[in-house]
Amino acid sequence: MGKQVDTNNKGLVLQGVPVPGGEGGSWHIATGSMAQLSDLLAANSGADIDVCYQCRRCASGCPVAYAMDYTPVQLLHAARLGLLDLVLGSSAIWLCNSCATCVSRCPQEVDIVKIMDVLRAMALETGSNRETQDVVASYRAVLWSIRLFGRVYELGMVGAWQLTARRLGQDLRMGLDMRKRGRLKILPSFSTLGRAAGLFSRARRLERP
Amino acid sequence: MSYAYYPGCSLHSSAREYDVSLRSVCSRLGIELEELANWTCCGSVASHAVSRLLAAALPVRNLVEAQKRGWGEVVVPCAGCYSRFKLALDGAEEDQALRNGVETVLEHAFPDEVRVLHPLELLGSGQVRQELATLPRARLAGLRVVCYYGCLLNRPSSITGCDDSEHPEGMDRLLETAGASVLDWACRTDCCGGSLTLSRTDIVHRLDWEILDEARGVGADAVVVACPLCHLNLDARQREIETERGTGRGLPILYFTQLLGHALGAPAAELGLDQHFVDPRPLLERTTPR
Repeated sequence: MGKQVDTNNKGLVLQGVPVPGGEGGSWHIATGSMAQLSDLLAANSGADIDVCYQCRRCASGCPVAYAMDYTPVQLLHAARLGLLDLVLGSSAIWLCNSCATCVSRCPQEVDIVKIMDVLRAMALETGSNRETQDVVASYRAVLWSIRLFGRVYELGMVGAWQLTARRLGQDLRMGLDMRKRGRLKILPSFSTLGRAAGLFSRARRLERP
Repeated sequence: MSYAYYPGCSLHSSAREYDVSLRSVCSRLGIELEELANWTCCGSVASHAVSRLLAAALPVRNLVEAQKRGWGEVVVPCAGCYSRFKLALDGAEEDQALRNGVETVLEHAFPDEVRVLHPLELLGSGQVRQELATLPRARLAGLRVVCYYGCLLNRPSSITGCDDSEHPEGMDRLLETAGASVLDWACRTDCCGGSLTLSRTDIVHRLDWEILDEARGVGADAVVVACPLCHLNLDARQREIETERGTGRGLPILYFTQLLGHALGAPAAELGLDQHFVDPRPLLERTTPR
């Protein structure tokens, strides 16, 4: 069975074929020309990973590379080879903090953050990396708050994240100290309730006609 | 001079000190900031991981609101918001399809006439800078600080218009103008771990320890920042970091607006100096001549 990756832009669908992998499972590799995945990333991000010549400046400057399963240069290389599962299932795309150190140092001017953004959007549909599911949950909590309240309601967002990540009570002392210092609002902003919700639904409709 | 003001979510809550100190500095310099009514979130750390279109539409919505009210310039102090605004404008300029998409989502024409301005640009240039240069420099003279720019204010520099993304100096020059002794150091553009603060606190602890350690190493009395998330990670998490490492005695983390406000003679409470985890007031009392 082929794997379908439906990116959230321009209705492009990428087909993957299974090849034998480790532990009795199989990998999915993008079908068609070797450049299919990099073409799709270029179409959705404006960044061309095929010009990368593996100088590894991105990996050496990346502040979180030490915690990633694949460093940025390895991830780009895997994407050029069409290794869908490896790329979309990596922890690297979620540990990337969009700090853009790689972007500013790349001699080929590859906008790796934009590539990461497209990969993240794709991975939300198909990928799963267990190690970083709490990171994904924290982004979902932020979006939930913006959609509902029009703004990030910090207390509600952190609470929603702690519930989904099952980490209730984390940072309790910091939260109480913030409150004591007048830096934690108890109530959300009601004046902007639902004001951004239309943007979410219209953007979704445009991207998924 | 008057400008539209977009505080962003953090400055209404966890980064209140940045909001009050910016307002204090501006009012003392005769700059009027008028908060945009019903502004909404710029999309923060999450929107761009989900949708390029949503990530562009969320900040631009606020520029549409500004344009409707006749504003030509919006002041955006949060480095995260500033970056989201700038990236949205750049994306729409580069990609006509994205621009059209944003117009459809917002059901409004693209607000081409509105500019986005960071307070460092506002306070660091021309007339304001000259005014700061005429201040008595004594209030900051005894203070040795390092400027921490972090990521989003300067990278990529094609978007932010930063002077040098490896070694920016805008904040250094501004604080020197106001009288502070600004030291050179190696961590000015390092990453604080940003949005991983909730989900991967271990990474934040590691990165911020290096920043704090370097700041102490060069002999800084305080670290000066321009980003709410940098401040949160360096100040609010500092106690955890020092406990974990078993060393350190608390290094004050200040917004650059707080130092400027202090130079202008504003009292501590007006600058939110009483709201930090590491209390900067003893340092300022010690170094400010009476």
